[in-house]
Amino acid sequence: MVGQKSGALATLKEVSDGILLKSNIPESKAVQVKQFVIDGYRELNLVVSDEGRVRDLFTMDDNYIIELPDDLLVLYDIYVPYENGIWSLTQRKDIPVITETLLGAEVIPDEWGGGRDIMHGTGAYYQTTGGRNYKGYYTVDSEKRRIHFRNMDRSEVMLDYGTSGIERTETTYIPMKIKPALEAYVMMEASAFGIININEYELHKDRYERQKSILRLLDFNLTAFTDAVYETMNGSYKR
Amino acid sequence: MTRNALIELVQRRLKFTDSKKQFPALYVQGAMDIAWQQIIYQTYDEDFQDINFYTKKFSPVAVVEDVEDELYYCDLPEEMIRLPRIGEGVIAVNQLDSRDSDFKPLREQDFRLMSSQEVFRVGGEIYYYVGYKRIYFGESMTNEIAITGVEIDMCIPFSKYDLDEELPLPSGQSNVFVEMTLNYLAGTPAVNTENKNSS
Repeated sequence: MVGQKSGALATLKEVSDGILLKSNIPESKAVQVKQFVIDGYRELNLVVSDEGRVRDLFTMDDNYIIELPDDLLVLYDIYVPYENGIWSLTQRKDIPVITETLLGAEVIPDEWGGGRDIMHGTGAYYQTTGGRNYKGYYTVDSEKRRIHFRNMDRSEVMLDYGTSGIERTETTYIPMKIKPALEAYVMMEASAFGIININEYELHKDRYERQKSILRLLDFNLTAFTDAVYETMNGSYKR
Repeated sequence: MTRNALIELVQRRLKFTDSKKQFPALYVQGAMDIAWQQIIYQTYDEDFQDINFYTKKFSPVAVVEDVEDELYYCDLPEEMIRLPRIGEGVIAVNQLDSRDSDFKPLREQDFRLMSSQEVFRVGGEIYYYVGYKRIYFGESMTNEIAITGVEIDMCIPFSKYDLDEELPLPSGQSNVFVEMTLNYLAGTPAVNTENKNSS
């Protein structure tokens, strides 16, 4: 989470020390508790909270490739600027992700379309795919953790992705609103791993589920909801 | 009460049984060492947080860098009571000018295992484990803290307090401590102070 430390944010240490203070877990289990906090924060970022969503600018290299950020858990979309708003690029599986080393530099071989656009939606032949995105295409090379772009007229794009929240900045900040859920998660895991009594597992699991529900309700926004509904409508009249 | 006063008190209570015989101070002190360990262990066993009543603070304790092994350590400033807990008789380690909980104890095994986990990289806590006569510190220990030194709260044996030093006995526990010592000495023959050839 980016931002100055405020009352709305806590550090990993503050959360894990708070759990040690409030529970009967001895300080000698601090390292385990802190690892549970990290695991829990990642899980909550992924499954519950919109706090784990990052929209940030990234610049491609000469081959139109971007390294995936270390904290990326899931890629939602990629945008370029368009008429004071944003325009979503299209994911295409037919972009080759092959590179080779030439004179010490990484290049895309000619036969794999290095430096050239891919064919898209011009529709001269039956086998060509329909549709056309004038702003560009991309494909994700998960194994090498990077994204290849084609047909781009710019080298800077905005990635919209789910972050682990860990190590995104020098200090990892946790929003206070997810703290109760995080604490319940840690106690649940402490019970599952035998740090506290295993009989308490169901109790803490129940608390965790309840706190997750509360977070989901907090994330509901009527304005956003109605906006989303309006976007599905067109402006034609019905008589 | 001071260590000396406690020894004398026990000696006087023992003398009551036979005024011609007595228990030498070293003899009594040995029993008090055992009783002291026992009372600390019982406190730890009942509620480990109350163990802080029985600690002695050492400050500053010099921290040394082992350049070859690339880690910081400090020698224990005194012999400790080896409690069956992580950190043993070392109850707390702190920076000199801080009341924060920057130092966290763990097992030597955890020390090795955590190096492959995120918890090793994230955050600034200084993890430590207590080895034989030494405390080893984790990666977050800085040269700046090492130069200043650290302060350590420890449970140390009764015999390691100075004779005129106040013992950290909570109110109400002096009597328990003395009675426990007398119990250990019960049935042990005293030394005859009049006839040096007999015991």
